[in-house]
Amino acid sequence: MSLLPQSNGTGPAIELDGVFKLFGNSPAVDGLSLSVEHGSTFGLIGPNGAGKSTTIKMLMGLLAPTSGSVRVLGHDAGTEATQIRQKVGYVPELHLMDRWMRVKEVVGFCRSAFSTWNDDTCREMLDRYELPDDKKVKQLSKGMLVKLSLVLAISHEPEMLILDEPMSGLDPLAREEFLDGVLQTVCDKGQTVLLSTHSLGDIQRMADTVGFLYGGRLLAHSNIDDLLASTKRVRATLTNGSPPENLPTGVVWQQVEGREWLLTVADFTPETVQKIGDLQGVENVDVIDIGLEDLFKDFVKGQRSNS
Amino acid sequence: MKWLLWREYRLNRLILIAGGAFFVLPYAIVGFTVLTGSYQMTYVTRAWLASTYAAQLLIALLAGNAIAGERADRSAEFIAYLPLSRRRIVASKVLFALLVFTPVWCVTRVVIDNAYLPAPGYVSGSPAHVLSDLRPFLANVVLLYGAGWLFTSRLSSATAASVLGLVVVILLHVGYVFVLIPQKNFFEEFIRLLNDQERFGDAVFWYTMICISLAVISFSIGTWNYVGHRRS
Repeated sequence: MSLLPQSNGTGPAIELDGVFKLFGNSPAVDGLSLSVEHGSTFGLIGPNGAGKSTTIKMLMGLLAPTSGSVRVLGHDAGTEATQIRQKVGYVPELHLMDRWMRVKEVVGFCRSAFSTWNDDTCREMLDRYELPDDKKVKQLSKGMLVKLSLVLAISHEPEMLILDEPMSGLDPLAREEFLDGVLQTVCDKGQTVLLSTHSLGDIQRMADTVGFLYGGRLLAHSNIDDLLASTKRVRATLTNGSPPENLPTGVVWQQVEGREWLLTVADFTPETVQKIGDLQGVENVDVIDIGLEDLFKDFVKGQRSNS
Repeated sequence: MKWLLWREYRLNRLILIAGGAFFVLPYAIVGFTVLTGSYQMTYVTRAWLASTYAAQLLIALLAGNAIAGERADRSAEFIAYLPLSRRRIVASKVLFALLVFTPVWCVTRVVIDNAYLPAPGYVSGSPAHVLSDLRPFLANVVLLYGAGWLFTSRLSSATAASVLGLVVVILLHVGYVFVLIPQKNFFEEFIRLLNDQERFGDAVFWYTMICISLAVISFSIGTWNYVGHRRS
């Protein structure tokens, strides 16, 4: 699935262990445990309010978890946030750099903050994206701002890139150029990438592993190919119009329309079809492959109906 | 550090221009009266008062804008994702304020030593000595920065932080005077205090101590807010 090479890094680049984050009494992140390997491209998908940005802020050491531990590139996010930011390139959704600065001033300012800044990489990227040195940030279009953010995130040659919905509001061409820039960098350097987005197309193009986040909880975390291979939609006919009570394990979501019964099953095996067919009042069992988008929707809908 | 100082300068450029203009203008007017031959010694006194008030306002605005300003326009988030320690950011802001205050202090000192004290109207030992003592001015500036720093570390409005810093100093100043001087025959007692150099010196000493203590406490709490606490 992924176009990207795997790096030779070992061990997890990101480790979250039982992380809770409460805002008041409501949990934004609810017992999240997650591990992302070095050199992998991890897509974090979730609806608005799922806890993606909160999770990323905790990874960058900007928010303290209420409980649990957060480690990035071997550093504790609570006590070694500066070291993490030295090694991570971050592209935010909102590009909040000082609007009165000129492009060359933003570059100079960021350059002073990183010990590993590479002027050649920076110049090459600025030229490639045709970002004029003397133009003020407030005069840049949204697309140019995103590209400048990417230049700033990549020029210090980070070990990891964190992209927090950076492409929202971009036209398709700018989106394409941005993704090409990320892909090229990651192909050249083999960095770990965490991409948070609403766009499943971007995830499928970029990521090799994916996590579905909903209500601050991780509903699924797997290699995309494995996830698509192991999760199937099953269509069956119900003789009496109501689903059986004893469902097979791994049912993520189900829906009954008339006598048609649709269910999405994780950890699907050939025996699963047999088990469903053996249920009382169930006949004509079909297995359907589904795409990442439908799969994500089914996970979220299933979770919503459970809660 | 150079870029952080440059950023501070750019963020506060308008404040510096306005504050600098109001600080220099009174002395420029006195200079003009010297050129036109209409100079009087009281002009220096008035210019000194106006300039020091402008300088105090400038420091209050700088302190209020230090953190709240970039929080308000959200450029603080840009800085937050860079590997800059908050201690370094605090150091740059304090160093910038010192760099701004240094010429203010030097000009004030030069005016006092070279224009005010040698002026023909000045009589040593008269109430005029009050103005030659720069400790209250320095104490006010230190407290304005400390109190402004405390408020700017918590608020998102630079104006509110500056105003609250000023209010703290004004309240302390007025409160101290009223505690020090009996309210019965207030003005007579006030003049008597100004004429009594020893008593006046003691009063200034304790005022300075109180201001510096409050400033250190305010600055420490503000820094703890800013550096020690990640957003919870």
